[in-house]
Amino acid sequence: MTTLLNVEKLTKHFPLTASPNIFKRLTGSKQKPSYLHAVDNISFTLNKGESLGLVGESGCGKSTLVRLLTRLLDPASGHILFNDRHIGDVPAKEFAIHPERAKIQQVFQDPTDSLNPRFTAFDCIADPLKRLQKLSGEALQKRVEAIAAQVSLPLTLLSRYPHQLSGGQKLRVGIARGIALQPDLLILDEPTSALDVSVQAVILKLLDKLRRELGLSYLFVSHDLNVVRLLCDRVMVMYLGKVVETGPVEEVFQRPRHPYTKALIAAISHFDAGGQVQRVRLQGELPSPIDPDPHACRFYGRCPAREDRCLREMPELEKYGEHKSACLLAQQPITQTEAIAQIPAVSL
Amino acid sequence: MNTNLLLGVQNLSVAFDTRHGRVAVLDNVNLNLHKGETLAIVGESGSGKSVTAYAALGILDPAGKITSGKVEFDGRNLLELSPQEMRKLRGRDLAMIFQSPRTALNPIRKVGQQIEDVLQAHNPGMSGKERKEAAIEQLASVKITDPARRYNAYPYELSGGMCQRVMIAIALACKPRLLIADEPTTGLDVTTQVVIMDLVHKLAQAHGMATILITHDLGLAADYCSRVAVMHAGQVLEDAPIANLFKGARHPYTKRLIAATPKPGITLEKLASIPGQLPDLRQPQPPCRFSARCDRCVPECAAPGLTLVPYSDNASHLIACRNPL
Repeated sequence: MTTLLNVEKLTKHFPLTASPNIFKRLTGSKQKPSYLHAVDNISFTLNKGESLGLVGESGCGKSTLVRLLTRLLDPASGHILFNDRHIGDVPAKEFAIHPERAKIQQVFQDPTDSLNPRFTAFDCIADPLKRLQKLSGEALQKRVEAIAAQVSLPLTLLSRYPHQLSGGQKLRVGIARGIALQPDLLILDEPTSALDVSVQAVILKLLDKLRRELGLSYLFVSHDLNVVRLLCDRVMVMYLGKVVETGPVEEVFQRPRHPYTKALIAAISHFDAGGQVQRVRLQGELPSPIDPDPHACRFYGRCPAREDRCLREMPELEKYGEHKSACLLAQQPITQTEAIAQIPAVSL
Repeated sequence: MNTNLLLGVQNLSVAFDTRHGRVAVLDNVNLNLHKGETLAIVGESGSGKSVTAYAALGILDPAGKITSGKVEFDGRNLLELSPQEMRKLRGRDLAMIFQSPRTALNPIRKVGQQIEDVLQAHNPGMSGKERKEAAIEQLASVKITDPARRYNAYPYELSGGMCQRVMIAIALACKPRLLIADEPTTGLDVTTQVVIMDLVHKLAQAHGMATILITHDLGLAADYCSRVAVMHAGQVLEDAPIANLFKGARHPYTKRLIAATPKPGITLEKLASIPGQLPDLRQPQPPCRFSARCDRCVPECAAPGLTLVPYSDNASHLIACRNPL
């Protein structure tokens, strides 16, 4: 399998303005500027035709990572190799006209907010074609209609404005716009979170079909682990700017190694009627990403299995076959919490 | 009459007057909630879950009119009470946790003061100092760390999960007998979701409160509720104990809703969708509003007088369907 995207040691720190305390600013006390560590030393690869799930709490850096990959933000350090070309070094401003621009497309989270209310469905899908492929007239018309057919959007809806479309139809327009330029990589940012379950299944099946037919690679950002499990080949779990676990989706779900992944999986409903199962619960909130201790595990404060050495050593991703986990305690044999966190395959 | 019954919604119909004419949002909704019970109301967005709660609490939008029905709370018909009497009940005996805590809280008042507001309205005898102490105690009971300091926090200073805890603290300040939680965890992270639901569940049990959980998440209902009412387009289609519902749903809509929910152990091929959309309620509707989307529709479905009836001999499993599974 060929590698489409190779991300190496990608880092993005946002500098924070000097102390908000006006007295300190006026007296000019020298302070080291603080940094918000949004994405911290992340490496991963994505193969052609593969679907990678990205999960994590809000504030863990998922969106920053996506913005780095779509080159809307400039990384602080690290490399992004896309189709064997370094695109991380191209400044974000120039990337808008870069030939690789068309090859990385995104479907945004909110199907309503991400469509221009003054554009018809046709205009929305045609816009990238006009801008980057300079299509016009009949060729444009034909191409838009072909794309609409691919996402099963009835042609009669193309003349409608977003407010005249249902949530599922709007999402189809968003997906059509995403695949219009025949990208290699499609980034899906929580595509189905605003949809009811009744339409979710159709959209998930559509995405799966498009991936196989068009040979797309997906980076699928989602909160819903059940959806990730359905649609993705591999999954990557982020916590506070770091990747804490990654591996084949079934392997990670069946045998999670990092306590954070275990807690995430434990939060999934088992659909056992009235089953108040004793589960791993995370206490507390995501800690501040501003200047975290570089020598301590970032999950320490909330970890149910923490040990003293976790405070002295920052765990790096360790390989367990295909499966990688960044936890000092992951080498240990199966523990009770692990056993509890395992989800039985319940089918209704 | 059943003395254990706390809330009985009988044949509640609500219509909204809009520019496009009258929209019949609720159609003869029947729900019964016993003391200490937890009931989930599930359904797609637009199925009338929240409107049912709003109508029961008397906080419907002015455009909404209750066209028929009764809401009995502890033997009194809430719909016949004066606004003053309702105001006394709301917050004291009937409490609600709203969706999206950030918008439900007042952004320019300290969260502690917002808890005090409820206490002040319902315990006029309390002194300011007592109220403040009670508010801090309330913040502590929802597991907010450092409650004395958080008392002075404004909603923007708190995370979504913390704001939701404050909402719960406000709702439970007067130890209500009925708590309605409207999508309490939508928009929160999965790990925060379970912690918040655990908290609501634990506090409800400690106070012997009856709870109605409004959600579109069947998994949440399965984990925390003993009974589920399934709504579609303003009608209750099935009302059953949770075990019966998941193992033997009788209404075609419930069956499809369960099949459409992604869950562990299901494959993409097996995941089903529900054809069609919620009907346009501006148009006159057939007796069963699901019939246009239903593959088991038979000629009898067009006959008027569809009501919730016990399925076979099971008095606790109610269903409104002429051709059940």
